[in-house]
Amino acid sequence: MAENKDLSPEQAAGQQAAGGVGVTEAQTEDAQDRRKSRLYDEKVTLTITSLMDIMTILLFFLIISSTTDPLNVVQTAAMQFATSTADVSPKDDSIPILISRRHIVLDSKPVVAVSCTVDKAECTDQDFERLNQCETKPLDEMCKKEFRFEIDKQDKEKSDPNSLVIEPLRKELDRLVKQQIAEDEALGRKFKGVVTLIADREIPFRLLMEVIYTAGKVGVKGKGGLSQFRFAIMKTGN
Amino acid sequence: MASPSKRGHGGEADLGDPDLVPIMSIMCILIPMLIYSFVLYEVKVQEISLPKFGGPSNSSSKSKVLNLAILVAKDQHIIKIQGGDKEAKEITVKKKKFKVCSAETPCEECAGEEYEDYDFPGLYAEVAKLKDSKAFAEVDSINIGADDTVPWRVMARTIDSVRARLDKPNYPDLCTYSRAKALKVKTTDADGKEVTTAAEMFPKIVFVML
Repeated sequence: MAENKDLSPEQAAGQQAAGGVGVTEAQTEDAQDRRKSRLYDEKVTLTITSLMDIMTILLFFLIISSTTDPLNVVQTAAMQFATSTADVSPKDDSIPILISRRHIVLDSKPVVAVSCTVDKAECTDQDFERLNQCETKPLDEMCKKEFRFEIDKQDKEKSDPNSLVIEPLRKELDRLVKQQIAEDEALGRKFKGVVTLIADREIPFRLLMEVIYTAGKVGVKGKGGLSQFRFAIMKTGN
Repeated sequence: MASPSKRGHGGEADLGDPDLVPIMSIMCILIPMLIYSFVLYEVKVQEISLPKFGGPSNSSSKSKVLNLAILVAKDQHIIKIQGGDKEAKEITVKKKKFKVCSAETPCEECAGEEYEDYDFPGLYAEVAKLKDSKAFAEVDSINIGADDTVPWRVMARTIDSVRARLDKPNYPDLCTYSRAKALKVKTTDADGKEVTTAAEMFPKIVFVML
């Protein structure tokens, strides 16, 4: 009987059916129990070290590429890139100015609010979402409406609505340019004064010109100012 | 009673493999989160020159340099040719009706409803014609201005129409124009190597205020 101890239940049942050595039902159950306990006792370990290596590399790559590129802007209802066939990659460091449908953002913080009205009412995110679909659905009613994006007159120079200078933007740019010039001097580099405008596709020409004009007024005498401008676009087509 | 130290007596205790499962769990959350926020489209730049306030010189002035300007109005593009020894000339390219066409549909099979849009193929054809003329063969800059309300997306497409040379001189509709390939030309780079680049008409864009 001792030889039957390590038999599997199937083998034990087979032997019993063949009329071989007499194996009782209790013995079969015993064999089943022993097999189960053996299965649970075996410590199954999964080697995840190599997977960890891949994950760590991927994680670092994603973190670095999402934090170092100032043009890495996530598109939202209020910020959609204009499409263009331009194929120039940004080379020099620049000061990015983001002009969304809600704010003008400098150095990751909103500096000025952009007021938006459609049919004399304030624009909502739903309006923006419908407006964003105009490229694929140009016959939508929303595409025929006139959206007005402007800067409030209290944020303009001398509170003049016709002024091209946006005061809070000028002050913030001034601070940033002085800081950049000091950094470049410390590093022995020449300040290039490049500005990258990351503008939403619906921003009107007037507002773009106000931002460009304001930036053009910023600078330190004898050390240069902001003189080179470029627009960030989403590459498409040819 | 304190347990006897496992170290000491010369040998180091086998601490086993570190438990990496919690770190893996954090990574499994972090990676999809970063991938979700990752920019998967290509962002490029379009360089422009500083605006010249006051706009292009008026038609009465006789500048020796030939000056080409595009003005984007609410319902049309206006091409202004000034300077040189010729009389000032204006060409208007009015908005036109185009058929709605999805990206998957071939242009010949477009049967969508009609909508009005700027005639970018028409603008491209006019500018290409001017560039091919003797007068503008050496000119590489163009002034672009617009009405206050013209959105940036229209300006960006206008810049495309005047900057890049496409494989054909004109296109019948917006669909074929939008899908046209850029004309490639062989040039030599700074190191003297032969390179293939996209041909350009007016690469220097100057923004002007009206």
